[in-house]
Order: sequence, then C-alpha cells, then structure tokens
Amino acid sequence: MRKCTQKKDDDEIRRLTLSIENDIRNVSLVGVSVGAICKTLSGMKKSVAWQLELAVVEAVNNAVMHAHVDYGSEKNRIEVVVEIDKNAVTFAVYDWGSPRGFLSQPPDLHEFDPSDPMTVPECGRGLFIIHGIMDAVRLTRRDNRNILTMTKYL
Amino acid sequence: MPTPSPNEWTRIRIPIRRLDAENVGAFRKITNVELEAGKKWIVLDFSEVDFVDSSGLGAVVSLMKRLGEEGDIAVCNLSENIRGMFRLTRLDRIFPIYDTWEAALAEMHPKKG
Repeated sequence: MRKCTQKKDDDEIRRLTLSIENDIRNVSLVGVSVGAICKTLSGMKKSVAWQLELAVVEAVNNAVMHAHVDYGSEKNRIEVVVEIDKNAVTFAVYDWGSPRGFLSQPPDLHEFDPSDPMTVPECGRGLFIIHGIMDAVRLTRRDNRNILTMTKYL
Repeated sequence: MPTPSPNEWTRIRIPIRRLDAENVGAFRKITNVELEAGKKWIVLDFSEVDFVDSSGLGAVVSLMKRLGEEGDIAVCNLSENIRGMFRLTRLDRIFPIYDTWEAALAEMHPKKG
C-alpha cells in the first residue's frame, strides 16, 4: 500500500514508487514512466520533461552498472521514488549495491580537443548530464542501500 | 543538389526510437554493416530517434573514432531535445549538425585523397 500524504491542496505531496529488476532492459520502463508523469505536471515544458526522463535514465543506468547483486535475489531490484509538490519534483533512485563514490559537484567532462576526435571520451557523460539537468543532486546511503536523490525546482 | 556517389556520403537512418544502453548493440550492428562495406563518410539521420542517453552518444563517438582520419561523420534531423543534449555534452563541437539530410549534402564535400 502506498501512503499518500495529503495536507491542504497547496501542500499536497504526491508520491509514486517504481520498482524494476536490476536489468538494463528495464530502464526504459522507468524512463518512459517518468517522462509521462512529468508531462502531466502543470507548467512543465515538454523539453524539461524530456530532460528529467534523461536524468532519471542516467541515474538508473548508473545503478544497473554498479549495483551488481545476485540475480533473482530480492535485493536485485532498483527503486525509483518520484515525489511531486508545488515547488519541485524529486527522484530518488535506490539500489542495493556496494557503497560507491559520487561527485557532489558536476564532474569535469574531460576537456577535449575539437580538432582531435581521438581525445573525445566514449563514456563518462552520465553523471555530467545529471548534474547539468537537475538543480540538486546528492548520494546518500541508508539501510544498506545507495540513494541517489535528484531535485528539479518548478 | 549533388547526389553522393557510392564512395561518398552514406546516409544511415537510425531505425531505433530509443538509442539507449539497451539498444546500442543494435546501433553498432547497423553501422558495422556500412563500415564493413567500406563506407567512410557517414551521416547519421536521427529522424526516427526520440531519445538518446549517454550510452547512445558514446556509441556515436565510438563510430567516429572507428572512421578515423580516413572518414568523417555528421548528424542530421536531430530533435530539439537531442540537439540540446549534444550541446550540453559539447559534442556539437565535434559533430557537424544539419537540420536535414539535404542540407548536409548541400554543404559537405567528398574528401580528396
């Protein structure tokens, strides 16, 4: 049962939890869901909804890649909690993986030489993209789970 | 408008709506076919692509590196959202971006050996 916390209309907080098996093929399910939810939010531009979908996809990709747990285990799941109030939309990505570092500041995107394509990195953009889209990003750990929380102010 | 000869620009219409971590394998299969056929100048047409994540971008960068100095790559028909992503990740400094395939043809020239 999902508990919906409701005070007055203006203070209403809406919350949805998405849960997937830790499998890269399931990431798009979360992405499409998040994108659809964001598009319904009053005043949200479609372009911003797209960006939020991207940020969540990058976060879930990161969890899938780093949170290796025994397949079939109850802990082999990734949860995404979407919380919406009048001021912000927040996504919290939970995984059971080992503790991992996360930059609190946007990582450098490997300055490259535009005249030398070989200096362009093929990976490592995910966290940069998350920081570029979201207004607040932090990684915490509670009850043996990593929690990546991302907030976009409305 | 110039029509590319077989040794000139090849248009690859990416038939994947979500170019993401799940689907990069399919993207590589499609582009490998062209590379193995000797295509060296490639325009990736994103008409059918709604969504790209960093894995998808990485695959495009990887393709560029495989073409190396003997080839070249450009992109066209990016949605505004995907174009924004190229800007955010500074890949708009690396890949020529064209509004349409026709615009790409009109501006690019075959490389002389």
